[in-house]
Amino acid sequence: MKKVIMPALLAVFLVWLMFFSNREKPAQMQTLAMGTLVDMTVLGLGGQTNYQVLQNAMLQLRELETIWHPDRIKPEGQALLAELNRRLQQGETLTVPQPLQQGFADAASYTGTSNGLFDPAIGGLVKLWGFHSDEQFPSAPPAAADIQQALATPHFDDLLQNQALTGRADMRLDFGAFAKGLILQEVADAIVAEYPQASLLLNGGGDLVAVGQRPSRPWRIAVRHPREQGRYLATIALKDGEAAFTSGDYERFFDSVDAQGQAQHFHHILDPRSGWPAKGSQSLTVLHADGGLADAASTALFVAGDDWPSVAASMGITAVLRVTANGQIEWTPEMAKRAELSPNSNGVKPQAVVRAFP
Amino acid sequence: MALSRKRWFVRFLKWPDLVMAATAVTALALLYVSLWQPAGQAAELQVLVDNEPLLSAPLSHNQNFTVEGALGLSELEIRDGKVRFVSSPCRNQVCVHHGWASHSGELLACLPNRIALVLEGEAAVNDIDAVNF
Repeated sequence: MKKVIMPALLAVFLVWLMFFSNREKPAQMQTLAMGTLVDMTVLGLGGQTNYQVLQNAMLQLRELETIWHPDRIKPEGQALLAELNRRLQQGETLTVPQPLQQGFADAASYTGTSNGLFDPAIGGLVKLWGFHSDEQFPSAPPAAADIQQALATPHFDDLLQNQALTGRADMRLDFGAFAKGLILQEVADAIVAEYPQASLLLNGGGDLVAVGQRPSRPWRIAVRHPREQGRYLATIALKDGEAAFTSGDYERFFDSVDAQGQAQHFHHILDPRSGWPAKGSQSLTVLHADGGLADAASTALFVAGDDWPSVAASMGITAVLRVTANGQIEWTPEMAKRAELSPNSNGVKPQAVVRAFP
Repeated sequence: MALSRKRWFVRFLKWPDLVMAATAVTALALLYVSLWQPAGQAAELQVLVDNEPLLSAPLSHNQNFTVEGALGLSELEIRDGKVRFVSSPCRNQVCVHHGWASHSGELLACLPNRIALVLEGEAAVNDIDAVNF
């Protein structure tokens, strides 16, 4: 009779696994914020608490969105960055408001480590191109002379001295390549501080911050293929507390003709060195434990083009997946271990080149 | 030495082992049947206007429909389990350029027109929780 106990236990365990392991329904909420669709998933706290946490997260998200919006001074007294920008444009010298200080310090540090490829001080250039607006992209690129003039602003890490800034008329600080990561990270950190056992997946228009995992497996994500609509480039299982950020040339863009009359695709990731949309990459994905850094680094490495490994090394980024302008897939040794490339439309798995760090 | 003439595996196997093996195989088959589905295929579309759920539609039924947003009418198309924005009154056309979406966890939105499309499906073992782009 004793011999039946083990098989019986195993049977009970397997049946339990079948019925309960995959059954917790995560709480989910979608909202339009930060110029994109934000989708938040929480589980592990029980139905009621999961929703409570989502409600609070949404309020915090709105608050942070207001704080970091570069132009929208609404509501008065809360739009810290927009008000700072307005006063800097009047030439005032100002101390950075406390809620912005950590973000400013981090952004200045990333401007330095990326050698200016990530730079919140190019807000004037972004506005000149018209990519700051959700409502209206331009139909043609700006005049070359205007671009040259917009490039005259100093780098952000030179502007920020001891948490103070000296304004100039053409100054417009724009944290568009950083704030989404910073905000999602801050929302995630706040939830985890209160509920260490929570699992969450925050999705801000395709940029992700993950904490914990599903009951039976890690959060699994797919990276969109930059050219083949509806296909994946790769799938990745995210670690607890990891963010995945991708910069691509396919999302915010307009088509027009260049000075030579050639049809051209003008996308929103501007190269601070030339003032024009960065060339060389179709998409670039970064994994890192800090969402703000992952966001800034995906932009900087995209802009870096073929030199991205040296910028990655200098920014402390080890997991990178890139598609070059001619469609070649490149990745770092760590990403090669983590990501699984998806088969292309012919069912063939593409070959990726491992790029070592300098 | 009658025993030694038996095949080697019969000597080491007792009947509880067979029960265990049979249970494992059966349970595996049951798990497969209960959890398997085509990887990440969404089953249902949810349309939100101004953050409020407006309607849900199955992706199995091909149809076009129009949704009124903040700026005007956006046309959506459901075909063969996929959905896309056919047209939208926004200027930037980010939503139309995005093209087809078909995997659960994928999101499509027309920000200026305040319309969001959420693709939902049953969570499977190999499902994708979100698409990074």
